[in-house]
Amino acid sequence: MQTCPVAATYLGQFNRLTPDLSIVVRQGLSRCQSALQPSERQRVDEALRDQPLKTVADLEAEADRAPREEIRDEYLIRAATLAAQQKNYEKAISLLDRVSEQGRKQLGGGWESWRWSYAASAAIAQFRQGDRSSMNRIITATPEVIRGFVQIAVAQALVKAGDRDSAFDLLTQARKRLAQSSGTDVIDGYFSLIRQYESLAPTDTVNVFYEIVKALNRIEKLDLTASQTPGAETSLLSNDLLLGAYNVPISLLEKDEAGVSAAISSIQSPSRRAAIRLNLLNTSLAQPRTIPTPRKPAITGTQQGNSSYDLWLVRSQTITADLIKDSADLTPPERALLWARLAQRWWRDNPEQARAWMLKPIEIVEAVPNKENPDERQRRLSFVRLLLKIVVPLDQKLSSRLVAILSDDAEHMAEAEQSANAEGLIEAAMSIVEKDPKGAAELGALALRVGRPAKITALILRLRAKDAKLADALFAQALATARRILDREFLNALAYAAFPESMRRGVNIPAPPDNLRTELLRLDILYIQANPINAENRAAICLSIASFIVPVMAQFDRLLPQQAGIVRQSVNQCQSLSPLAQQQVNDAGRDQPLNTVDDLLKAAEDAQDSKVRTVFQYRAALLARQQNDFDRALKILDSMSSESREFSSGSWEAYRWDWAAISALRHFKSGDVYGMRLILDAVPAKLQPYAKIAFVDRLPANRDKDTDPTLEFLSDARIGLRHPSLSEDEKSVGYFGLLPLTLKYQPTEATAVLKEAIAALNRAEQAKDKNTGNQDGGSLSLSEYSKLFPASLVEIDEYAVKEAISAIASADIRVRVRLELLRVCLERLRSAKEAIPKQAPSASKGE
Amino acid sequence: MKIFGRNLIVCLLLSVTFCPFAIGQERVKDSDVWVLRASTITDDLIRDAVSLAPNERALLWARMGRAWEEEDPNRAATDMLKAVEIVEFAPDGETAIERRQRFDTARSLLSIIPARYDKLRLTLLGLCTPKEDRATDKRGQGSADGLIAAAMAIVDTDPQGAFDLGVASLRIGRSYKLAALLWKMRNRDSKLADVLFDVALSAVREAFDPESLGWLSIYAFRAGQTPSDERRKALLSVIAQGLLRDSASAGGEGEVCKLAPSQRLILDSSIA
Repeated sequence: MQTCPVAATYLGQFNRLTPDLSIVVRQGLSRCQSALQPSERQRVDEALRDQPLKTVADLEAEADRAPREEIRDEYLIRAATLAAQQKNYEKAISLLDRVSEQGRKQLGGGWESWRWSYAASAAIAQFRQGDRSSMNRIITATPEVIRGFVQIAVAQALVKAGDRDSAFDLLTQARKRLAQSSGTDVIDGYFSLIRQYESLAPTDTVNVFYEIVKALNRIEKLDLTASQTPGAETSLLSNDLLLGAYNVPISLLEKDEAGVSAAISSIQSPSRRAAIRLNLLNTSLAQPRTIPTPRKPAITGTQQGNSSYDLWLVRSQTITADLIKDSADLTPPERALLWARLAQRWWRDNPEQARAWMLKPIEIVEAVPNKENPDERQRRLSFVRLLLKIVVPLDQKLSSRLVAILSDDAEHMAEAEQSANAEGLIEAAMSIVEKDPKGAAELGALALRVGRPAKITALILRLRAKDAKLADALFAQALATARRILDREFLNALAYAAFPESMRRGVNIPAPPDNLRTELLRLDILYIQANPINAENRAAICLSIASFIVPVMAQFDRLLPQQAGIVRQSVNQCQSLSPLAQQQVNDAGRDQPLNTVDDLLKAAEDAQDSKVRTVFQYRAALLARQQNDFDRALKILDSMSSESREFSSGSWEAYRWDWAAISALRHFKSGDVYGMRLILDAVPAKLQPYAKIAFVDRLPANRDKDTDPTLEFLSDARIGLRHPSLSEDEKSVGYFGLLPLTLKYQPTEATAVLKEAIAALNRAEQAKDKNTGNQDGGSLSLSEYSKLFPASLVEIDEYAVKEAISAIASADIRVRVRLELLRVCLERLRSAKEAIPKQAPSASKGE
Repeated sequence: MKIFGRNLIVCLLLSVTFCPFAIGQERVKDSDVWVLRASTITDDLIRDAVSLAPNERALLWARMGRAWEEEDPNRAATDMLKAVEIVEFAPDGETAIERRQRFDTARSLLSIIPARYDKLRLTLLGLCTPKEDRATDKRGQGSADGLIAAAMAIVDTDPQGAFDLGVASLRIGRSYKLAALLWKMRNRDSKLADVLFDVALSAVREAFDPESLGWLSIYAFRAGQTPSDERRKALLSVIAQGLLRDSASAGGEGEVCKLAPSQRLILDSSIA
């Protein structure tokens, strides 16, 4: 570049400020002209004119006269710029449209920018004059690639003028166009669009954002090609303007934080991902400063309610986002189940998103692969059953889709499959029996058509508590099924529903009327008649007789006396059975039932078989406990041999520390601190932490400070959990038991206990992997974790909790813990919501 | 040995679900919600950082630091330091292009990291003007651009610092962005803007760079608050001198001599 064009441009300034020098400059300009490029020469020529080009017409005429295309283009652009300055936008557009293709390219996007900007201004001007058809004509005449920008800009003007419907139409058109575009200009268009949606159709903003994410990923390939030249690209993060283009409304986070966060995570370009997040970060941190500080330091009820609601909402959304991230570590079926559980959690608070999540796993199980082998089918149906339990309480239509999968074509399923499906339906029924007994009964009836569900008993018993008629009707249907199949396990199950008091000692719950009970007894006799005892089936048939016929012998005498003889004859045939079965037979035949602790202990003493002795000892201990004679109950437990303790597979230990805790508590409440300590000290060392945890958990609120052992026992328990004889699994469960109590009484120690618990949990999982391979299921069930992770823990130190959970090595357990934490947070969210007065605005909080 | 049945343990241990903080007793600030959100986003950004190239990572740390400056100054300082450490580190076998990109990033960081981190900024300035950078940077424009961008970022809060950066940029190259800096500085401190204009004009006069004359003119003659007519005259004189130099180089030294003595006198006096 030479100085000549610069001097030419400012010749007027030379004339004004240094008239003497302007003569020198004019001469200089005349001399340098020959050495200039054509366009520069043109500029110098123009400067030296007597009559400068002042009007649009002058410039246009000069363009027409221009000998070369680039000079013509330059005049056209100048004319267009001048026309736009004079607000003659349509003229500006017509001039721009005359610029050559080459000229447009050389402007590097400038032409497009002017073109849509002038078109928008022209259209808005026509709208203001009331000429809608001209407005639309201008929009339509805009090249398609930039039409969206015009539509967005005009929509903004329409909104300001109050015509929201027309504005929305324009935005919709722009959105459609952007959705199909794969040019990089789509970025500016979409981000501009989402800001418009925010004011016009805020409920749609989240969906627009998802489209943005798709568009960004669509154009990513183009960008990758472009960025192969090193240093060719200016980093998005280096420039405020570039970065600012990726700004999205902060309300997205209020509407669907988890979804938005997951969507951002799916953006392929790390710098674009970071750009959006940085903008959100800046806006988030700017938010508190924009909220006016209340004049009074005290927070009013409404404000408090809203804040609390928001806080729990954010916590819930954060956990959800973490869960979505966890999903990457899960197998496809686990992931699908996670979607269902997420949907279950959010069903009340974000139904739209929840339904979308729920549909994913349902669609997966509905799609039957072309060549599904039996194993795959079994896994799919097993998954359907799990899903059904989740869906049934939430949505009838979605449930029907799953029920159809389980019940359709049932007759062609294998027996085991039928059975499993029937049990799945019963479990689903159980989940709604309290709220919808009729629906539960219907599912129960369907289960009976599909298979022979043993769990039908539990359903009938719970149904009876809600609606006896429904329970009787279902029981009658179950009897019909039993008559058809005469299956011993099913008859055994029905015996519990018909004769609860006989089948379970000490249980006193309502039973069906005698006509139904009699019918079951008849079926029992049919079963006996259909299965005459012989050498081959003796063991199996006698086990059935011992299980569900002997316990109800008295009922045969009462309800079917004529046929009781058949039953007795069969019972007599079952001599020399296994000791335990024999014991049941003997019990049934006693004139005087064993109903005192002494009787039971005497029976234990007389028993020759160690297992029979153990059963009598347990019964004696349980009876003593029922009678609140804990000292005696503990004494009986302590008297049991190690063989007997082993036989009970964990029950002995659980009874030992639990009853000790209750007994110690009774001593403590009566002021006998010494007695309390004696009881606890007598607990075997490895069980003492559990006894002390259980003791502290049950302590009354009002205690004598001098004798209060809470902190001492918590400390003892924590130390005791390091006992080397405890397995890591046992330690982790102990720590999780200790956690809520530490939180209650020693909150500053809570996070340390949490970390110890998780460390033990990880070690337990590691040991399990080594010993048995990674088998499904952690030590605790889902509902158990909820009690171990109270929401208040999050309040104490949210970050520590988050960090601790992230440290759980098993993705499966991590997900379970988070799901339960999510559940408790959502419960707090609902409580906070209820605390907000009705008139308080809630629409912007994602509702 | 199993100590307990699974269901039993929870039923026994935790028969009472307690709730130490009743809802109505909570004391929650509105700001907590947003700070919590910001923390979550920051966690995500830190994860993003792993997939970014070192230069971009440095920019990300600096931007995170700037975002947190008010809410958590310690965190902000740590983040800024991380950013500078990344660009300070010259990897083995770094190519000339990679080195230039690293220095470009250092210049970008100058526009992000606020003036109060003066030590970090000094480190960055040292990176912005190395000799080898100038060797690969045509006419020092990249370096000058970066310094001016940094000056632009602080001119509102630290006009003197921005002035120093502007002057430094003129020592290493020419950038059209100086016009924007001058304009912004004039709104903040017109005297400093005039001095910077004088320094810039003096630098341009040395090289008679037409491009620089072009953007200085844009600044000097645009509508609104502009330098005094005296400064404008000085600029016009330099333009005229450049014009005559161009004529001379096109037509030989003799062309300048063709000027009438009176005209040469006018030119000389105006330049003087």
